[in-house]
Amino acid sequence: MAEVRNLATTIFSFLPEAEGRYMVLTGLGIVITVALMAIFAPLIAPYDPIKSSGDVLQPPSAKHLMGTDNLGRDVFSRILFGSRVVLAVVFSASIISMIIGVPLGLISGYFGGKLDRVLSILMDSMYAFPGLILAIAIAAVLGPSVFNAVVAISVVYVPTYFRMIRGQTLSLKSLLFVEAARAIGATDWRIMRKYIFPNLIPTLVVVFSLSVADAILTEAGLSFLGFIVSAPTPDWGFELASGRPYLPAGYWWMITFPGLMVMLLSLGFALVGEGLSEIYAPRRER
Amino acid sequence: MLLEVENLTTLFRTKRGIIRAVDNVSLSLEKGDFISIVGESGCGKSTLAYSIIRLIDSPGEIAGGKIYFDGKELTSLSEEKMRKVRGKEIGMVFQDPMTSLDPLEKIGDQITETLMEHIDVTKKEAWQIAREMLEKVGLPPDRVESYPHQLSGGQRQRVVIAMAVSLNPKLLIADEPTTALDVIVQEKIMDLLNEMRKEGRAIMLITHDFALAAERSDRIAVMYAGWIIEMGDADRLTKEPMHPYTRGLIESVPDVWVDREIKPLPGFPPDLAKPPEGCRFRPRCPLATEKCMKEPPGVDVDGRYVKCWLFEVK
Amino acid sequence: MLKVEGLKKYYPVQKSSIEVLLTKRRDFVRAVDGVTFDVQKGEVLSLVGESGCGKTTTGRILVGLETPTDGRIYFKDKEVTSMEKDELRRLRRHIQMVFQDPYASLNPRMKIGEHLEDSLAVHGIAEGEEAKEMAMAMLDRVGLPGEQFYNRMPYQLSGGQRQRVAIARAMILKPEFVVADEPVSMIDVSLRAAILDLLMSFREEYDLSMIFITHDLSVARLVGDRIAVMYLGKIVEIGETRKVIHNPRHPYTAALLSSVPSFMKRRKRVEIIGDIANPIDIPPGCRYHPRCPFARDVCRKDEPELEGDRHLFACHFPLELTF
Repeated sequence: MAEVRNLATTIFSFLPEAEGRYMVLTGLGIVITVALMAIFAPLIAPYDPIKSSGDVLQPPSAKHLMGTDNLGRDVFSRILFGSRVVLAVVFSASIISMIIGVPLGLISGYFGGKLDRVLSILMDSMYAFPGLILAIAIAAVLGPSVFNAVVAISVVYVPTYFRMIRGQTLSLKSLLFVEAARAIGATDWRIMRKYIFPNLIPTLVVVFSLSVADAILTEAGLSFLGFIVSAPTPDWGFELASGRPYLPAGYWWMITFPGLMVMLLSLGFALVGEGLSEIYAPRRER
Repeated sequence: MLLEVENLTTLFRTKRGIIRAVDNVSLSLEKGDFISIVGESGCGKSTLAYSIIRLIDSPGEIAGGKIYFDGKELTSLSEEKMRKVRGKEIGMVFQDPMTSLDPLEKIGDQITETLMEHIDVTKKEAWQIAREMLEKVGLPPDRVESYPHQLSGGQRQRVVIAMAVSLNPKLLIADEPTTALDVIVQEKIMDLLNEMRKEGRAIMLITHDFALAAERSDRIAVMYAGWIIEMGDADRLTKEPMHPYTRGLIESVPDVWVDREIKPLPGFPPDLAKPPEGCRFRPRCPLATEKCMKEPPGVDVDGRYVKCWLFEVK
Repeated sequence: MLKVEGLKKYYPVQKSSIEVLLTKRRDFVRAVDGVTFDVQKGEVLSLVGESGCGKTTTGRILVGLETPTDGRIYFKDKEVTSMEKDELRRLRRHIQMVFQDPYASLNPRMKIGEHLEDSLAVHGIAEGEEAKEMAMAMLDRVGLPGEQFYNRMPYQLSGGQRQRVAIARAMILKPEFVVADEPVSMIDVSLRAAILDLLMSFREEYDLSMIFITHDLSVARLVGDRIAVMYLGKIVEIGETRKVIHNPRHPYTAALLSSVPSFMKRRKRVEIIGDIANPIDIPPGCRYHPRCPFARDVCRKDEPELEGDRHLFACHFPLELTF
């Protein structure tokens, strides 16, 4: 917890002067807004997302902010509830990838040797595979469900964490303060926990934001292909799929609003990640 | 006088406040003089050197004073004219030779380029001069064909000196030229600087090593927190230091040939964004009195400059 | 206290893949090439030499940061080189190191106080409140009032203050042996004396034995009871400080001494030729001969042994001079 608090103070003390501060603040603004939408969806949503609330295929109006879909459901309400699925899937998947990728990267980078070589080859070959295709393949094998989608997406992002953490560990390992800890007689486990891991946190925060940004797109892709939810549950990617046939007929709102939301949320996380990496890039320790 | 610095003030505007890295400093240098500017890191000695060649980048600026060099006033010179002074009239040797060398270019090409930029010679002539220069600094002339990474640290510093003197400057400023090198190499580089001096050039050595300055220079200026606090003949200054800081510093460094205890100097150098009131050495000074709450005057005692209330002219 | 016999450390030279395919020979950097010495209880041995002479590697081997290629180390008559990993780790408590660079030797994300507590926790000496009290007391002892410094982060400290922390976290373990690797060379001149004083005060308090690695002979003279001079991985001269300084027998020691800047101005100059050789291609015979102005034929063929009674030197034609 102390590490998190340190990080928070570091971020806030840097924000007023660092270059990336506006990126981080804008990104955070987007992310927090969407998170609030998801949490308070039942309170904000004007209609029930899975029941018809008026005429079908109505364009945006004061009554239906984003119009209605082919079954007369309120698009705005469906987007609000859809954000819950998106955030739940993406967050749990990213946390799982982190929980798997970080220790593996740490151990691999710290100890090196055969284990490192095997893990690196495995992770690199996974990384070389296009993320969405890998996720589709896994989801196809496991079958469509929210849980399976989480598994598929987390597998895709394990190599991202692994590679970053392994690289950072390698460079941290050779630093003098790690040697100094060895000279005191600290065990490997202790060195990893107290000397290396806390110094990985800045990188981790950046990688997390960027991989979430990417995972949002992957999630939308899977959902679009029907690997996550089935009707009538709302999910942004799924909305795109159901709105698609109506686009040629001029019913643009069914597809535009969910699409914009996917883009916006992904952009939000990307801004946070890029901004933070800009802040950390020139290591500002005096 | 070859160089006369008058009341030079260089400051840096930082978020923490204005830092007066060089504060109202005056000194002069004649042809063939060897002066050392001695002080700890952050005392302003390097800033002084960079101010003289006007390589002070934002947020720093020369805020006051004049620099007369060989009949020109440098602070008011246009950047274009200043560029001609740099290199051609004032040579510069830095601590890390790699900052002045391009790792991807042959030594010979680098010297030739500098030459051709400043004087009217053909490529062939310049290449010949480069060979002569290397020979002069004690390197085999065929080193013109080498790349910097093929040389040792000492050899690289020799190359930098060769580059600096190839245009025959009247003043050579060396900023901690041997700090990264071993004593044996340092010895040889210092001998080389001394040879350059014998040819009539003035040398300004910036160093933190008091013994080195004492051994090698005619005059020493001791800087502390942006001020020159004592300046005079090197021999006399080290044998009979007057300013309490000079004395304290000399007593705190061990010497191979002298069998004595060392006396640590109390405290640490001030934060220049918030310098102490009055004399900047006051908080560390064993002899400080009420009077030291005011800035001490710089006085001349038998040809020695001292900035301390102890030597106030009655 | 500590005895080192024939210590060697060779590093294989990195080669390009083409070279590996074409040649069978493996080249080694002979960083430490047969070093033998001992350190008595309460004694300080200064290890001096130019950069790349192997003095730092020797120190790192002693504290276990490198494993020697060959040779034996005895600590209080027990052979360290054959110890199990766990036993070795317990030994660390008694052999501590102070590093050269105080800016890099502290964990940037750990409080000053935690650094000291970690030393204690690693060896199960104290934890919690007790550890905190000990840390506070040690911070006071090294001149960094615990109340003020315990909660600070390394970046809030100056170089001198950081080096005090580094010393404190080694000394809190009450070691019997300390390797100090150039502990003042990166510290501001006016603060060096205070750091040296601090180290020496611990030496008295704990009756420490110490290896003081330095390139600066004036510091070596100040702190060392004895001085060992290293050249290209070997000790070329070792003896009582006063003897080595005033009557150097090895031409390299003499050259080194004569190039140290001094307030006294130079008395004698002893020449040294050219640059230091490459530790991959160590010259045959006496490894110093290509740089020695006194070298004769025999020096090019036979390597001299380190010989003598209490003042040992490795030279066929030792000097007779007084500085």
